[in-house]
Amino acid sequence: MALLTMGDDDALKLVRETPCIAIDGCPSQCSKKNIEASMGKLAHNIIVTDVLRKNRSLKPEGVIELNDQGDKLAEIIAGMVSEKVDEILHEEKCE
Amino acid sequence: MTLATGKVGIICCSGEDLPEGTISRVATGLVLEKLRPDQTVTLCLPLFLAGGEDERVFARLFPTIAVDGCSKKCAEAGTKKFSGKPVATILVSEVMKKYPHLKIKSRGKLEPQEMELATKVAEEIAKKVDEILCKKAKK
Repeated sequence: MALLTMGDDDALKLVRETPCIAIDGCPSQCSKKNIEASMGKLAHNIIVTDVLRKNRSLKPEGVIELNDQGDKLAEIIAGMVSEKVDEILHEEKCE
Repeated sequence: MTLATGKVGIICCSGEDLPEGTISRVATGLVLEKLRPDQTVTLCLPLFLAGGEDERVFARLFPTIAVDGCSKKCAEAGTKKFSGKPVATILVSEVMKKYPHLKIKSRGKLEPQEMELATKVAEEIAKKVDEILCKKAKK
């Protein structure tokens, strides 16, 4: 993402030619905004705090090292991203 | 983010491609949480482009340290572009050269050797924080 911020040609080309999924930690949604500002192909976006709201039993802690509940939340999000990747690739195949 | 005096802003690499990016983030976390919690704040690099005015104003008014994973130095360049030149840049790939026995490969959870390198990087950041604040105090 930092490369997009810096206007790196290769990074810009990649987000413009490839469907992107933005995974944002907070509602500021910097990943999404950076893809949009770079005129990238935003296919989907996930906000971690929204996922956390749907999984209130999980209390992720630790910035340096996540606790087990943080790892669990990361696994849930990874699952959501993987599903979306499959959907996008399936749609592309059907087109 | 709340603006405060006597603080140094740390702007960290957000790269995911190389393990050096992960090291830079863990090292920054160590400084913020353990080594210099009262003297440092973190600034979000992607917010610079997304228009985070608090981040830009802080970096214009207060000293900052960029912590970059690789020689592309996005944190340094981003800060310079949208606010002011960082007082110092710590480059993980340069710090690594001093500790050739520490091998890194993880982009997720760090192994003991990688955590050792992150600690070394964190110590260099903390040293720089002390230098900056000491100079400011003398003025």
